[in-house]
Amino acid sequence: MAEELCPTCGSMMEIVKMEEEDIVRCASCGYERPLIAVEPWDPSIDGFLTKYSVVAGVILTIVLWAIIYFTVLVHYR
Amino acid sequence: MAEERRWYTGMFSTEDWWAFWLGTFFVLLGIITSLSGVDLVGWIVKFGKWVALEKAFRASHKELMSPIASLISSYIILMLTTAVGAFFMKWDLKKYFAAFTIVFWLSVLAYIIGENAYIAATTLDRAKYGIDWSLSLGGAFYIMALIVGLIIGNFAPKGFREFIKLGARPEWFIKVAIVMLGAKLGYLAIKSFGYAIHLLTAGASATIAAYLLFWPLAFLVGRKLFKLSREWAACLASGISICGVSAAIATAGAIRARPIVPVMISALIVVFAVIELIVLPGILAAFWFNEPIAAGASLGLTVKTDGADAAAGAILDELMRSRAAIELGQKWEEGWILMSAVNTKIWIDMFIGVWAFVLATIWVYRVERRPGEKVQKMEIWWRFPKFVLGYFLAMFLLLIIGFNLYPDTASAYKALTLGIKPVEGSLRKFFFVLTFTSIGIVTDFRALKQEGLGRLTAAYAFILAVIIIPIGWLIAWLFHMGMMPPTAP
Repeated sequence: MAEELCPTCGSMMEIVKMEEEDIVRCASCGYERPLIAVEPWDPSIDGFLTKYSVVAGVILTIVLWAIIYFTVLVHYR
Repeated sequence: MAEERRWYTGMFSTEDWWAFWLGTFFVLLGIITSLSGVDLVGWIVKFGKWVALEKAFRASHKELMSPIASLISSYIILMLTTAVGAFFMKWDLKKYFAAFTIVFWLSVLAYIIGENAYIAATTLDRAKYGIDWSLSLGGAFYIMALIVGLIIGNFAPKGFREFIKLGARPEWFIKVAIVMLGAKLGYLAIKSFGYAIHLLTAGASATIAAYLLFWPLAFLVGRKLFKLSREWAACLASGISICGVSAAIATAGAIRARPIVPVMISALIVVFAVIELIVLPGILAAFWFNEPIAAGASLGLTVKTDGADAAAGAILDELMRSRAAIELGQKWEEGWILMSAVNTKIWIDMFIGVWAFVLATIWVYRVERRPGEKVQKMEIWWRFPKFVLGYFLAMFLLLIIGFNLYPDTASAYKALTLGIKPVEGSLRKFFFVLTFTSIGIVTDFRALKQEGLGRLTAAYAFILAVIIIPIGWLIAWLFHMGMMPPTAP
């Protein structure tokens, strides 16, 4: 199912289970890389992505809910 | 050289557009029938509860033809109309004919068995059918179709499974049905206009609020708790937060993730959506009976494929209405709970284009800082789910006709019933059953055992159970509290 092409020789790579983690390995040239690489948390990127979305989500939830509550749901209380 | 993409690219070559064309075609047949009196939809087979087998199905307009003629006509017409789409999408037509035929007749069989009065009749129906006991399993025909499909998808020989998948197209069938559901919304809105508008606006607001919370929290948990890399966490967050497979694929394209990423996440999405479809309607009907519309809306926020969401909504609609009939002695109008489930899902689907655009912009300008590269605004249109256009077109057509061509809403509703009822009722339900059978066929639970899915499966299950479902329920309740389905006359 989940296979990808080797970046060095172009052959199809396969997922192989290692002791601690899964890797994708090329049977032709032996190139391998972790399936899910370790990538440290970067506050300037990951923090940016999460922080602003959560803040926007919470603010929007409150604003939209207030609008819906007093315009729509008022008919069903 | 790659073909340049225009605004109309894919109009005759994608499932999405063909759902629009087919759904709109059937709705137009219904409208023409209502306006002209020429019966173009009476052939549609209508299944119903039965004790004697000869009462299991009939033509929608029974004076038009016999039950058997109606069933065969439905088979031929659905085969031919879907084959037109298959032809333009360049599928293997011979194999499609054969595979669709099997899916069609399996669905018919499941429908008939599931509608047996001893299985489906409520306590209030028993006298009508002359029986003294029944299981009261509203929507059992959906589960029956799913079970039939799952048996094939998981136990049939591999060659047969691959072959029958050519005619088992859950996302296509459900999108056609959703366009017809747009007609149902328009048709019902003629007499409950305010309620329909309330449902649409509450659903849209709930969706915006929910996915802006879902995505960052899912991304955060994926990155911090499950140590996923950014490309995996972003695609997983989109898949589980927005609209499943198409969101995972769109996000992978936007952030240029490796092809392996959306493929593996899509496998998880499909399997977990089916688990949710089996589990959630029963839980919601049992524990959230006092908030049926909120319960429906929560499905749209938590079940991540269109097929499974609409399927779960249909089961919930049947279960809730059965319970209301038994416990409250009230007959809730059919379809509003289902529409609540589809409504939130449709809004989520529409946002995928916007979200792919936002992510692509963030990745180009902030994460990878690719100099000189620009993100095209047309991405929003290309990612837009086109079948949604059919849903709204059908709804607005019915409203425009209903409010302008008749002296009052009662006469409009009555006049439109002739053509619209068979399309939004019998035909839409049959497309739902086709969807259930197809979902079962394409769902292979062995996918969960494949190499490399361990940590992803754990992450998906955790995020679904701890973030998506609880927040989805809360948001659905906040934005739909107190809304009840209108009662049927």
